[in-house]
Amino acid sequence: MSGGIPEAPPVRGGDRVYRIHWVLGADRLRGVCHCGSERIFDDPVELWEWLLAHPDGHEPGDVRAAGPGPTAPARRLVATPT
Amino acid sequence: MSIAAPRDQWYVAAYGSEIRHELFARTVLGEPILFRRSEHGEVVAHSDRCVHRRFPLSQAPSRLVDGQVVCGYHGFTYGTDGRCVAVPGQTRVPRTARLTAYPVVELDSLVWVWIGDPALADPTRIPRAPYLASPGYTTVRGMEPLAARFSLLVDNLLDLSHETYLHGGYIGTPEVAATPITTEVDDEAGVVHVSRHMDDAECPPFYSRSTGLQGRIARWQDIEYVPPCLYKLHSRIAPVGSVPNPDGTDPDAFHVEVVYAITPETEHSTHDFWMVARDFALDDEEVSAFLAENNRTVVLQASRPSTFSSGCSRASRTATRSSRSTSTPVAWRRGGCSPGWPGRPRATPRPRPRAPPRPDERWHPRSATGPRR
Repeated sequence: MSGGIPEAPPVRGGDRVYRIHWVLGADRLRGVCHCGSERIFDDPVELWEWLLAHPDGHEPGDVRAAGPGPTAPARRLVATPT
Repeated sequence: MSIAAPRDQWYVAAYGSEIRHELFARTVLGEPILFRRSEHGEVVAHSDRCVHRRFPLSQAPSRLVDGQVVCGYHGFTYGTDGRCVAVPGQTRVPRTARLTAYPVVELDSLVWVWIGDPALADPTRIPRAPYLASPGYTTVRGMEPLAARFSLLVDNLLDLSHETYLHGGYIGTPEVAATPITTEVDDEAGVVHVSRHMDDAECPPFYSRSTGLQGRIARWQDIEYVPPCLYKLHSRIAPVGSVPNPDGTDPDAFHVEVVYAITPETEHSTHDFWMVARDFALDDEEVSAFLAENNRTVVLQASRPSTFSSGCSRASRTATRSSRSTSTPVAWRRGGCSPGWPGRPRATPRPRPRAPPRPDERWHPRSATGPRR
């Protein structure tokens, strides 16, 4: 966790996963594209428009107004029965 | 404006236990469908309207006679395959006199029906919930009619921060609204995952009374929503500090699978199928009764007209912190409802042109999460 942003390890392991984190203690959302680009938004609609516009406006490694990307190891979903 | 329910999708039409050899009618996406079991025990589904004058075949005096459906209006008679086999007063039956058949699959105790082009019906796309029919679990279930469009129920269920308030005393505790959440949209798999892990939380009555755990608990919520119909909440309840073993076993925890099948009845009404499966106290009927009664109460609390009408109110556009990741319906609408989702390669590479959302389109996906202006 950095800068008040909750570090939420990913669960889904696919190649095209969009992630949205609630910025803890704030009224903002951090969108993380599968390409690695991420941004923080006030407006969830604008967040999704940006995510879905990939690759337009997305630069891998581009982190705007955001803290570090999700770097924690993948988490296993243990509650799913087999 | 409402988000239209997508066609070319599988929907839960009934519990398997509802369909017997008698006629059973249910409307899905505005289509009246007649269900019954064949003599071999298989569920069959056809249009619930006679081809002659559209009389409901599920409505008396329509009836079953020796396994055939006899229309109560003029006596047109249909076999198990939907073909008209007799027309009173004439010896020749038109070959085209046949009820529209619906692809139907009974799986995991649920009856799934395909709404759309039958040629596209692929049973392998039906999302699974095997615990609903597993001897290792005990399941309680019910179905409530909801006078609201199905997308509002999706919005409600993906946003569990409301539990603290709307369901206080049942499943809500302060931590639910105050714990970080992460939403993941897996475009290829066709899954929306919402994760909220509370490692030191108050134990709500729903779980304290059913598990016997007292005091603080670790409470994990992992929503796995497979649009458009199946919503699965994997709930893990354990003593504080308990984590699953590296091999995946989790002996100290109680697991509850809360499942909703969200099936549009019409554009403005929804079949709200709810199920609670647990891997503990399997034979304890008191626990079953408690969970059934409480979950039904929770469903009814969420079904109040005020709950869903608030999705359209001006006030709802005010942003709130903990509910904001429920903005996923935008992606769900874009991807999850397309005929090709999940798993179908895109016909055209991105980027795709995308028209700016109309004002009313911008309204709904933020029903409870809109920006603060």
